[in-house]
Amino acid sequence: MIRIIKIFIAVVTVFALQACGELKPQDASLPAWAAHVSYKGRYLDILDVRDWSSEQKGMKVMLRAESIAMTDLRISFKVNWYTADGQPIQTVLGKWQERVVSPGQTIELVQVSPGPRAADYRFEIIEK
Amino acid sequence: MNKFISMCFLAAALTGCASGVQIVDTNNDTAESVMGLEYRDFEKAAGESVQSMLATGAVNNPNGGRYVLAISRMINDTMQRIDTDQLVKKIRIELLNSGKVVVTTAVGLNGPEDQMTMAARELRGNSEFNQSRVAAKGQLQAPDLSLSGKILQRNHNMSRGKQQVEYFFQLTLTDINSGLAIWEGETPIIKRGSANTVSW
Repeated sequence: MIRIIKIFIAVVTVFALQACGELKPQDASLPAWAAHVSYKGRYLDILDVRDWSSEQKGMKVMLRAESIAMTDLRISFKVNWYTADGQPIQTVLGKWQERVVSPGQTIELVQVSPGPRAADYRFEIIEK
Repeated sequence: MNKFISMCFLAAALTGCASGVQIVDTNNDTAESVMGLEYRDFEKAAGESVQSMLATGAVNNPNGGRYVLAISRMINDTMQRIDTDQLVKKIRIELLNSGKVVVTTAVGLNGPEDQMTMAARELRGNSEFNQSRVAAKGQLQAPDLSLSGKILQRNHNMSRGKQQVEYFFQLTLTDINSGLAIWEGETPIIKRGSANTVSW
């Protein structure tokens, strides 16, 4: 009987620990902006991502990054916009745009949402 | 050996049959640009203009509701034969989708864009038509704002057989009531390439 109780306690402990693991909201090693940026390049150091919301104007987002490349860095970026329930918004404001960043230069990519229905966003950045 | 050669010929022949035409994914088109104006330039100009209009709050109606926008003159001052609707339509779509502006097709400099609005009113008093479905008097909405603009082109020769072609998309949003320009924007698109390339 004691053996069965011991096994039961062991199983409950394992499940409890597993549950605690799932409650962890996010990988601690990921930076705060990771939820809003998709970037797999090497030469852009993303410093900050900010957003401002207004019922009248919608959202305004800004990504600040510094080039750590030795030469001019050519990047393409776009912002994907989503409604509050996660639906993507089709818009000409979500098209690829190009920027050339000098070595050591800090740039700010500022974009405005296509109206107040935008509730979330995601920057996509690729090096060319 | 003969079999192998035959197979090579067959493969080459089949390749030759391929049309070489491909559909371009306009959301991920990374092909080189051209010296003339292309669809990506219009998308960039329209996108930047709408972003600026929304960011500055120029299209936020302080009385609530949507502004009614009329499309005014859009001048093509480039060396190319382009339809300015390529630019205007994108702006219209984005402004409509933003929920802040609605465009009237009943008013235009060269007559209404959609003549059916007035044509349908000629059915008034026609006993063949159910009069309850005919548009009533005083229902048309006069425009609050007017969008006008110009597309400019300047060509410059550079050293080493290169040229620079500059395009400027200039747009103005006018409050029709006061006649004042409440928003103005300019999107420059500068292209540099071989002087042998024509931009007209």
